[in-house]
Amino acid sequence: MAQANQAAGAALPAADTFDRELWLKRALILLVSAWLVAVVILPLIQLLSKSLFDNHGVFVGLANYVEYFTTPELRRSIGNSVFVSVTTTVISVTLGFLFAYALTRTCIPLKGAFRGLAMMPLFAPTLLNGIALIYLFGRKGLITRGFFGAIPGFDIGLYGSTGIIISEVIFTFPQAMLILSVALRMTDARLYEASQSMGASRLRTFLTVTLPGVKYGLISAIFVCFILAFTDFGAPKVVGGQYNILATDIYKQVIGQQNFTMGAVVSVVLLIPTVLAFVVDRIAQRRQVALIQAKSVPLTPKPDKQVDGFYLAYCSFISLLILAFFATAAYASLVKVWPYKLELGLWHYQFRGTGGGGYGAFFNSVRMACYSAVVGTAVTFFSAYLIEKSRGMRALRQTSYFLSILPLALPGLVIGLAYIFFFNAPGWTFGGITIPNPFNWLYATMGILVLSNIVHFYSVSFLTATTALKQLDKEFETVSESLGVPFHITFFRVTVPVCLPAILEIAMYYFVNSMATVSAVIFLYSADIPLASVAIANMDDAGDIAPACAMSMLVVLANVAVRLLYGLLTRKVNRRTQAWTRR
Amino acid sequence: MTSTESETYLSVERVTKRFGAFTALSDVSFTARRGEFLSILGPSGCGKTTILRAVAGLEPQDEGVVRLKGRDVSTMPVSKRHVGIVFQSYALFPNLSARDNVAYGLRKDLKDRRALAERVDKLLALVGLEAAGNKYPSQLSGGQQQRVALARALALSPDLLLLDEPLSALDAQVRVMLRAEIRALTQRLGMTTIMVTHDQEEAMTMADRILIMNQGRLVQNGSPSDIYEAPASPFVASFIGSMNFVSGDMHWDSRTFHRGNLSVKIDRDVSPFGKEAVAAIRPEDIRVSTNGEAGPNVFEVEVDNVEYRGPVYRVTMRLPFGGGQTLPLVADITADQARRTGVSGRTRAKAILPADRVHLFRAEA
Ligand SMILES: Nc1ncnc2c1ncn2[C@@H]1O[C@H](COP(=O)(O)OP(=O)(O)OP(=O)(O)O)[C@@H](O)[C@H]1O
Ligand SMILES: [Mg+2]
Repeated sequence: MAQANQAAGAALPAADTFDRELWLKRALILLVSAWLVAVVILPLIQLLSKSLFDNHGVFVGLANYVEYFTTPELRRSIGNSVFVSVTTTVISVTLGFLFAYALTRTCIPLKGAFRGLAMMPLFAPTLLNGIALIYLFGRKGLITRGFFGAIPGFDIGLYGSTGIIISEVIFTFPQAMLILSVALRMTDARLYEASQSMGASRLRTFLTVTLPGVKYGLISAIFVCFILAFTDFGAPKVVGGQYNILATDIYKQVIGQQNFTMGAVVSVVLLIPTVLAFVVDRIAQRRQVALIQAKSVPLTPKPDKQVDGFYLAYCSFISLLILAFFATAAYASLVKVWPYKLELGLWHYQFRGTGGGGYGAFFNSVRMACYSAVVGTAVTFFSAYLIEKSRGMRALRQTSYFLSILPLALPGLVIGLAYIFFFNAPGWTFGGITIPNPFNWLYATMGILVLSNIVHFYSVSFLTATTALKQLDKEFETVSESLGVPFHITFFRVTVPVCLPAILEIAMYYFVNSMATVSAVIFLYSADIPLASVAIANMDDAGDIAPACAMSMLVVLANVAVRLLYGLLTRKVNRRTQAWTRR
Repeated sequence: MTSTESETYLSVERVTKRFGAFTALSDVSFTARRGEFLSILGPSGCGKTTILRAVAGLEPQDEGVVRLKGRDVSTMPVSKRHVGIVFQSYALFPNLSARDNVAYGLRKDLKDRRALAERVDKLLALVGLEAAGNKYPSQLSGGQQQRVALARALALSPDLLLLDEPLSALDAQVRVMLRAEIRALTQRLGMTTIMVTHDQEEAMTMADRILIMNQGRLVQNGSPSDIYEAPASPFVASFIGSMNFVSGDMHWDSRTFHRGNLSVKIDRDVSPFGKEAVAAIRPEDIRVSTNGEAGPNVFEVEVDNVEYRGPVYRVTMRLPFGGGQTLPLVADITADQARRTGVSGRTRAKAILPADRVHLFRAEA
């Protein structure tokens, strides 16, 4: 009997034991890893190695670093960068915490409106933060001149660290607020009841329950704010004046002095704290996972006249500031000659007589943002699906996961510069063998711009997709396998429709950020593909602040329009989803 | 080749599965005949799901062979094994109606829409869900979702049906009803079925044969009554139903078991092993008496407590075995018996341990 069976086993046609699906998935995950290595690791290696060669391609070891650290003007930027980022972080996280607290733990009205207004800065290029500040606090600013001479004005000394810090606070505040809102919403109500039942004072409850409860959210917010402020380049470029920081140094070295080597050195210096922050944040996140899994009771805030009154005043104040900020920018973009001819009109929206590319640049940006949204969302979601929903191949999946969240640590400027080096290289020579660069054709095309955006905003999108996918039953794939249905059919028939809200969110995120970003693309755009955000920077350089402001407003408008479209689509999707869930 | 072997439909031979250094299954072998309903029972983490997944092809074993209809399917992917699987979570696709869920695996074979609709109708009728076909899973009750999952698993007329704790998410009444339904259905279809469960009652009432697992090993394989009547080890005995245990010495010549000054006559067909042994008796096999009964295996006990448990009363007693020491003993007696004997707490009574009802196990190290 046993022999007969073995014979039968041996006679099995090979096709029956070959798991096509499994191999296909393996191949695809391998492909995902390979693509991430190609667009993240290899360019970074190229950047690192560039910093070890001189401008003529001669290997000089750490000589460039020695030169960097012995040049006082360059070295001073490190201290400056740290100073503005730390100050920004402290202010932003404090303001963001209060705002998030108001939205999650009090009974104030208009929460939706407050939240919406607080998120406004996410839709704007950071260059706009600088430009709006110039219109408020610059030499001819609204406040400096006391509302065109109506009241006595005062000069805050905008240019320099003050301007940078204010811009970065505006830029990072929404991020801190969002992260902390999530953390505050997750805390367990039972802890508060226990604390109150023991008669603990408000301060004591805050110190022993609230703060520890949001510990990981706080860590995350601190690092995100720090990294964003540390690596942002838009606002410091506009209002930094003579105050040098690392991000502007890279730009000056590369674009101003064509000193690519020193640009690479500064990039590596810029990378060190961001990579550190990334590592610490990852560790904190991992701890937090364990925290969420415990069953907790959501907290429902109780009305309290005094507390609600305070937070209502606070949120109104912050929202008004943000509103005033954008209103000033909008107004300034419409005024004929600030501050002398205050007639309103669309002069600056014609972009005549200024460089930058005008509407051509704007529509290039829209195109680029669309491509990034479509391609980026598809690639991100499918990769996250493969990594999250495959069986076995643990090592490979973990590697891919790590590679997917690594871009979180990479500032846009670093990506941009690394891409110049990597995609512009004609080829590489290892021990006498020259390999031509297979990606060289991408250089100076729309493709490289889209690619840099996808990589720049990859990690957050990837994490959004992974979170959504984790909520699906992990046996969906097994069931379809057992029914002999190929995984791609289940992917399109079940996974995608069920995850549609997350997919829309990712697409919106890609669009909005690609539209507003300047740091990566400023190194990569070519003269025949001008971009809106680059145009803003260039017009600002040329002193054409009003058109720069107008272009920024166009970017904001496009982003707000997409955000509204997203809201509409989401509502539609939710209505359909409710059809599945209506009892 | 004998006729019993030719009836073997599924055979699992010496299957071992490791996760890293941890051995989840060690040397598990069993077989199933066509149409047989097997139930795998065991404590949490003993490897029930793992063996089911190995049979399905979802978690390929490291050693051993799985044969289905005589063919070695060990290296075959799940998509080629023709097994229907129902998971504890049901894993119904939330965005597809009950019909579309059932039709999910059929679409690739049945291109004709009419034929597809007919087949789906038939399947829905099979599980008694004719009217609910257009509802989405979240609009169905737990029991109905379970049935949709079952219909989906049966859609391709699989060779083998695998159920992983299919009823554990349901409330008690629905569970009892579905037990009977599932059993009737698999019988009608002649479907060979393996069901994993936590619930001994479920296994006892549904299965033709029960496999008891513990720590990755198969510890007993037999019909429900075999397992209940002749558990292979104290573990099995305590896992299925409850059991009183006493450890002591066995005198094989006189067929008596000793502990202190206690001696229990044993009238069971056990082949002798060593001297150290564990005697055991089920609570419902102990009789309790308050009149002056005497004879072998009649013992004077102190009754601590009599607890009302609906159909039975549980009597908690202490059995003295010399030197002022006692052994705990529990008996389940019928309400009628309780009334007739008038046994109550803090009294003395007689416990009768019928010699043919006392089990004997090798003492475990
Ligand atoms: N993929 C895996 N990797 C590592 N260990 C695993 C894996 N799957 C199962 N195990 C381990 O194997 C053991 C048996 O798991 P299995 O899921 O088969 O238990 P079970 O008997 O089904 O338990 P339960 O009744 O709780 O469902 C457990 O200790 C489990 O932790
Ligand atoms: Mg299990």
